[in-house]
Amino acid sequence: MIIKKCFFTFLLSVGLLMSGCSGRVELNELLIVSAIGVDIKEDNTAVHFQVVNAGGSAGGQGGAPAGASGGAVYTYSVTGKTVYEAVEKASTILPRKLLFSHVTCIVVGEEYARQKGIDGLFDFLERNHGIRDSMLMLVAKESTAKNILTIYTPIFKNPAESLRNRVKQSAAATGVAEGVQEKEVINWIHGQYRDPVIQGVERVEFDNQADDTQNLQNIDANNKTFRITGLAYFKKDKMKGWYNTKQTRGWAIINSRAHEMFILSHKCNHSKGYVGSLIKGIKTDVTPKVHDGQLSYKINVKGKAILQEVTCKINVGSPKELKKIEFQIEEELTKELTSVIDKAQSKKLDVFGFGKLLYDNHPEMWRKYKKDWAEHFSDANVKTTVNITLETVGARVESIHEQ
Amino acid sequence: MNHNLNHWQLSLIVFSFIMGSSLLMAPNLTSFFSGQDAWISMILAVIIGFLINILWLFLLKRYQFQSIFALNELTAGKIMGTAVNITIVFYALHLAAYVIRNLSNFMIANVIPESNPWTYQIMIILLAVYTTYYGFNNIARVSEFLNPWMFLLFIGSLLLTINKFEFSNLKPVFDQKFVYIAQGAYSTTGFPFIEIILLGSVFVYVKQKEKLTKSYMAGLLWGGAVLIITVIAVVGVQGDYMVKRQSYPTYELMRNISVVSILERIEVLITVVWIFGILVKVVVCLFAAVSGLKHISGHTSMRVFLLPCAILIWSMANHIHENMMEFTDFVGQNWTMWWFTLYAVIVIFLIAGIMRGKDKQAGT
Amino acid sequence: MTHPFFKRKRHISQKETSRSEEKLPVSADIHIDLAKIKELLGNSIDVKVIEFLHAPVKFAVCYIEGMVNKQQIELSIFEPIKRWQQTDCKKKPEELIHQLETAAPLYTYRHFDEITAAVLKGHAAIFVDRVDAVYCLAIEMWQARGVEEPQSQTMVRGPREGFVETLQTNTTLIRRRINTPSLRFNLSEVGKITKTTVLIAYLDGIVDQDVLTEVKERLKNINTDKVFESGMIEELIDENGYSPFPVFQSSERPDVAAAALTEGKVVIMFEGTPFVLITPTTFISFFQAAEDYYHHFDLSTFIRLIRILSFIISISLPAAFIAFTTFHHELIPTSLLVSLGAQREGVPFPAFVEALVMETIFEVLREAGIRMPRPIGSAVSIVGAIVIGESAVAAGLVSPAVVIVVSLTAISSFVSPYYGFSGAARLLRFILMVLAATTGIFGMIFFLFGLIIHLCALTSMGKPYFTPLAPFQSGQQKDSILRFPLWWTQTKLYSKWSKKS
Repeated sequence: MIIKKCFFTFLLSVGLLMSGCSGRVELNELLIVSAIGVDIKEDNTAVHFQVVNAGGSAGGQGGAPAGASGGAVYTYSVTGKTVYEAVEKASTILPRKLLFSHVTCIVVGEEYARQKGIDGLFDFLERNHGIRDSMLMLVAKESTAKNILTIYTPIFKNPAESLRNRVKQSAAATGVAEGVQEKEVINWIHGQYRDPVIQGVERVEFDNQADDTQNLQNIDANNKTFRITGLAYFKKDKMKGWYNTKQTRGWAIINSRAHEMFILSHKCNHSKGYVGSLIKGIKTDVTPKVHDGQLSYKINVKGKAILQEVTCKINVGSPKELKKIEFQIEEELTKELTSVIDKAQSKKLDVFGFGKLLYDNHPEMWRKYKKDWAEHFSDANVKTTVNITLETVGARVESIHEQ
Repeated sequence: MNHNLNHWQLSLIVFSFIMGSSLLMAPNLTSFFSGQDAWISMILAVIIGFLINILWLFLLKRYQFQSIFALNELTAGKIMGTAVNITIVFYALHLAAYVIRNLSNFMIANVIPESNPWTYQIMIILLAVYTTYYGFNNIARVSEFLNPWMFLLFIGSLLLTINKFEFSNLKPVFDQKFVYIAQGAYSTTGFPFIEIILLGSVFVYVKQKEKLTKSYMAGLLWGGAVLIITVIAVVGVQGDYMVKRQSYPTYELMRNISVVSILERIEVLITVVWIFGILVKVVVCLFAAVSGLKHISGHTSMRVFLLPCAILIWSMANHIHENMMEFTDFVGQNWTMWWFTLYAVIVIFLIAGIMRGKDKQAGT
Repeated sequence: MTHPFFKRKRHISQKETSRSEEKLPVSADIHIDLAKIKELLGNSIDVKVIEFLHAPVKFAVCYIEGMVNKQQIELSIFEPIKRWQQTDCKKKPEELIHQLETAAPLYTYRHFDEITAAVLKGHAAIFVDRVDAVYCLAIEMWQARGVEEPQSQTMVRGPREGFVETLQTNTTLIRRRINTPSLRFNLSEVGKITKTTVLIAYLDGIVDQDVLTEVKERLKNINTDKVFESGMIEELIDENGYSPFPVFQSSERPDVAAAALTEGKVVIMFEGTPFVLITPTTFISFFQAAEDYYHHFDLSTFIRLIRILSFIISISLPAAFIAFTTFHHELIPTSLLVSLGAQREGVPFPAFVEALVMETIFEVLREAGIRMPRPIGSAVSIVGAIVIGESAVAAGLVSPAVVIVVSLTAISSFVSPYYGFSGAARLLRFILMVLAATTGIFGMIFFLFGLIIHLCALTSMGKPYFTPLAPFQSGQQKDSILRFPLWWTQTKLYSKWSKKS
């Protein structure tokens, strides 16, 4: 009995000691990476890690001050042949261990996306156990990722968080709710045979002093902020060009991303001025049809609108006028849809997932068309129908411009 | 040392046994071959498992649910019977070793890579030995207490992922060739549904034997239903391309939960459910092995065999397969056939026994 | 059924050592008897022998000063006997004892071991010349504490009477609450040197007969010298030696004891301590307070859930904190992680050492708080709060998050109504902290599973400890975690439900 107990205790302690407390890292031995940037540098990959400086960003009462000041984030840049080699080299310049589980976004420089293609990034990001695949992907428009990751932003101490919130907010204007996540991009390229699109980001005003915290004392916020631009379209994994805002909205509608509200403002037909409305509850239905060897898609969009601004001379109180406004909104939306479809078809890039739709509904047809899908896609006949109901006119009935 | 069970505890143990290992492995095994029709192969696997177990229960019922070790000796004669019993003991230890290896693989690959796999293996073996020390009654009560919570946890976390569910990920339905679907079903049938024949060593202790068949089957179907729902959720939320490539898809599914900002990173919950299922499975295997050894050796108490079995399981878990891919490969290709052989051998002996009229001899 | 559960060696009684004065009979000569009794009881100053050797019938009274009601001796014994002795008729020695006018019971003993035992219990022994028996009158009275509010188990609403150290008062307190004739008290004695009186109380007809026989059996077989408090007996008749969880419930309140009796439990009462033992217990009963029945059912259910929650917090919160901040950084939201990191910036020790040191300091403070004299109470609270809490943080020795965690844990550990149970939580907390610091949250999960396995294996007087959760008895659920209304047993739902179980 005694021997048995001794043996058990021995086994237990062996188990515990064997672990050697491995895997434990104290919080003050970690560097929390909040954003990763990738650029091309003479055919190698330059990786930028934006890390959080806990002492400078949190407002809490810390321990005895021990270097616990300074900027909220810092960006380190390393160059290597692949991302993982850059991580390896980073361990020689970084003072602490990198923690990847809180990365909010990865910014790819435009040059890198055009020349090298984004496929090389994915394997490290997927295989590492700590990285979550729901992080946002962004392309730095006409600049490098380093430019994006080296400014201090007001209101949010952590610029990566500021970026992520911006993406959420921009859903109102661009329609792409929740941005484009890394796992979606992987799924699109390799799982669903379509070409990905990624949101773009640029700095509103370029200012060399933005990388200094002193700049935060200045009240003018435009030189320390980002703008989320339209989508960048890729052919498989290499970037080819940019969509403008209207086309981005069209893409969002077709892909059923814009289910919540976005804002539209268009010219009045007969007089000077603009009508602005808020569109919500957008539901899109895309049905593929094959008829005599001719591929056709029918896109059906339904939504509700709320009037927000009327600066032209129309009689808001009359139902006929409202019907006209509805018609105008529908026209506007149809224009956006057709512009994006035309551009996609002219470039022969299936960014909408029409191929997958065909596979879902008519798998045998898809197997026939699979080989030259780009050609078939650009020849397809796409018809759009938009149906918007104007729900309310807001807090006022008659506009001041009606006189 | 108390081994009594009632029928409700039995069905809960069957349920945890089935959910145990398969929760993390089933989507991978099925969708690897059948893509977005993984759920169809899962249904097929459940049906096949159901039929196999019905036959098993029917045969055992003819013998009044005696201990399977005694039955082997009765139907196959002393020498052959002892040989079959030794084989059953080996199979039980082997399965326990594989289950434990699976757990430590998961921990190292996905959760804490820097730690030592031995830690998790030793902890779970110690828990299993501790439970079996007090008799089978102990694990029956533990599972009776914990099962509702584990079930709620799991279903709750599945429900939280519903907002990301896209039905188009499951389309086109029935597109894959039937061969692939059957291949997906083949690997999953062995993985929990045939291994559960080890519970034959426990039937003799169940109190109300007339309700045994119904509760057993209820537990089996319920576990199968949960597995089917899991596969549907995993493939529906993530898409079959991603699922095929991931090592443990259910864990990745739980990573996608983001309903309210506080409920965002709770994949540890699924790990708890899985560890519980693995514990039940290991205890059942250990119990089967130890009672087999007790029967073969004629010893009075089964506790003597606990520690040697534990050490055997530990060393088998580490040394049979050198690396993770060899392990997965072996399981994917051979497991169903391996267990089906044992099943077929015992079933043939039982049928032969019935034909020779030995079931009348079984009595009580 | 006497179980095989109960096999510990210490419960197997050894042969009692025979004492030489055991079966010494009383002789008819009073002088020999008095000499014998004085020799047995020694020359203690409190042993008084009042001799009346010049009366026509010689008699003597022996008692222990301070333990008998001396007034009653004079009124009931001396007065009537004196009156009788002064009458003229022929007096037979056997008639002396019939002169007593008393309501107290009178026992007749013929052997000295019984006499000494009776005298030591507070009886007055009456020796009569030429009678070979000694009569003992049970007129014990001593200074006892009055019935006051129990301090260890306070409640907001409920009676404010608590048990005292005298068995007679305690039995009265119970008797007043249960007025049925089926209430029985069984006498027993433990302790070779202390010979403490033990009463086993039960309601005949409702009590579980197996438990009753088992309790009697175990009390008979205890082999120990001294028993001063019920806690010592609790340890000796426990069948699971090494478990930190108590299997007996101890209470100082008569209403709790009475409620337990009506549920079919057995109450063991001891002379000399106000704490009685209630058995068999289950795990859930440590989360139930008697007060739950005196408040409305929804409030009681809510408070019970809070108790269970605080038990879980008091075991696992420091360990969870250590596990999350050292192993599982991905589980904490980003902004919380950043502020925790900022707090840890200047702190030299790892989180485990911090938490361990703070917990130990708190345990020291708690023990000091129990033992210290009143006047310096405020000094200790000042030391605890300001010096340790504030200044340690400001000096950079610990981070504020750890202080919050430790204080929350400490407060939660006071919620349990039973001190012995929160003791188990305190011990387990330290083990969990060690496990969390070495293996992260999975070590904690394994330990918690091990704990549940352990709880399912415990038995209390042969009944499983974890009833009614496992094995699940749906009929009992109305009272375990949620308290259903008292009129629930009359609803149709309940009758359908209890028919199933």
